[in-house]
Amino acid sequence: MTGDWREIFSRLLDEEDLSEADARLLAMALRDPPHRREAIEWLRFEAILRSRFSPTPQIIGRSKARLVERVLERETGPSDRLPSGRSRRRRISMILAAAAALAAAVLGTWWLTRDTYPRPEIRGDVRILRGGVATASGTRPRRGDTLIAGPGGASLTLGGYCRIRLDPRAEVVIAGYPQKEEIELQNGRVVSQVDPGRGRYSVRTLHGSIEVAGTEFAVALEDPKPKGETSMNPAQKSLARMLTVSVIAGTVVCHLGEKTLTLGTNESYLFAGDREEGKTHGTVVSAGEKELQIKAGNATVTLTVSAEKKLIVKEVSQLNPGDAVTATWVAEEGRKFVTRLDGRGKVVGKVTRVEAPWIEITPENGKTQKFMPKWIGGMPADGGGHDKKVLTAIREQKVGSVVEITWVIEEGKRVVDIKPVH
Amino acid sequence: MDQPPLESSGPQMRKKGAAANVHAPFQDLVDRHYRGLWSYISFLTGGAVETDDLSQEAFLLAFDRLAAGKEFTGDPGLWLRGTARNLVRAWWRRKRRVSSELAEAIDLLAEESDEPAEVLGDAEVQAALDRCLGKLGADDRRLIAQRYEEGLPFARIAEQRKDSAGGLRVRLFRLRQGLMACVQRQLSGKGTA
Repeated sequence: MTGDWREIFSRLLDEEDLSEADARLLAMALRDPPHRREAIEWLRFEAILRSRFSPTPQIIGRSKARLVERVLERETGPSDRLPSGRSRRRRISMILAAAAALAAAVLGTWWLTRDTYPRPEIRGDVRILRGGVATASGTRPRRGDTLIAGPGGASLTLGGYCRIRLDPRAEVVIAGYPQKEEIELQNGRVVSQVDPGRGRYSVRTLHGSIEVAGTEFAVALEDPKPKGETSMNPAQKSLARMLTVSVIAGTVVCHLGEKTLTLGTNESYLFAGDREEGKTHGTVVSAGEKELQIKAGNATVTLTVSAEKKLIVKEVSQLNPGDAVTATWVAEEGRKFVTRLDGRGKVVGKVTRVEAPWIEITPENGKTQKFMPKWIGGMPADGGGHDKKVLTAIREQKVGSVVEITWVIEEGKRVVDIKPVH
Repeated sequence: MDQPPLESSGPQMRKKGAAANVHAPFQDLVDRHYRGLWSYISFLTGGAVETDDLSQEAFLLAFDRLAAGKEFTGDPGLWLRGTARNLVRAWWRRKRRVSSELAEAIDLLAEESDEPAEVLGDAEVQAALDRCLGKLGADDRRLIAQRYEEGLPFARIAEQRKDSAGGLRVRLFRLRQGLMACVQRQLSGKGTA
């Protein structure tokens, strides 16, 4: 060894026992203020280096969850294993203490609820890691634990009101507090069902958190498709992962980056560092020049149509109430701007005009609509043109006949099939 | 603000205070200060694995304080950092078994480091560190990864590399010294990208 105090300090940080002589030399060096300042820099750098190789936000999240567990344990005692010996005596005293606490608890609702508050329950194919170490089979999960679902998936219940389905290979950490349940999604997809009025629930990821009260929704965290060699550090890799939130019923509030976003039934949102987009699926309520209203579940979602997006303006103008569509949008300043429309539907009506490639039909009690076939095969010089099969079918139609037209949205509503209705 | 005793052996439930509803203020305290305190303790211990336990101990003492009906006046962060320093001092003495002479010297370090240490998550620092790590040779990078990413003890690394643990310690010390100097150069704008 060199006898340099810095090297001795470095060994101390590496958890090595120091000899008496080295400890004395280091103590003497640290009495000197400039050396102390240098040692503080060493400490700081060591912590920076360690945080570079461990995703600190996740570690802190787990540590916080474990703190909550420790607070609860002090009231009720650990329940994941049968107690024995000293721990049994401790358990008895804890039970007595809990009974005493219960007597006082009428004065504070938390103390009342925590003694009866349901502990986390897990069923299915799952591994439980505690402090990074796998626990024995049959161990009950607690806050701070990491749960990794096996190929069969698993289901987790928190607080008796949050039922969470873990897809195969999904990985979550139990965090949160009683009546403010939270999981930290590390990997994979979870579907959560939350009973209304029983407490709060949120799913936290590195991208942000998704909060909910009484709903069903899915959150998935996946790796993006590889785009060649990357030299991202672990933290960057984590942030590049794709987060998808899909609401099955109810409403959720997403806090993603600096953005807060409300999603309702049949809406989803993809968040992946350099890319963000939402989707709303439902039926058209109204379609105007500046606004598109879609009924998604029980709610009506208002989307904004930007005048600069000529194609979107055109596609929206062709929509009719009742059309089933999926609108893709980006959220800006609290509004959802439509960037793409997808949809497919059928309409029955009388042919009122045929002027290939156009066909015009008028549904009974509906407004007249014009359709043309899809464009296939690039530029006309390259052999591109309207779908020939559909074009022929259009030419064969007679004004006055009744037809069923199947349409898709592809640069406007396009007819893909025509059938006579007898 | 008054601090808990230096050699706290872990908080005990105070039943008198249990009646008070401390849930909301404690939750608020945890939400506001946990990350900052954890980073501070990580800094004071050089990123030791006991950072978790020490952070939790500090907050459990805060919980006891609230449960005893003592509210925080002023900045609770100051109280938490003072408590954390006491716990870290005790940790150096008891867990790391350093001599009282060295423990006193380390006490001085902790006293002179009363800052939240949010620098850990600083993107600029991390970017500088990444650039410096990128300048290392493949084997040096592997050694750093074995130590920090895989968390292997020196004896294990030495066994894998068929090398002496002492030699590896010295090599890692020099690597860290070089990296620290490189990061400082990068941050002062003198480093080359």
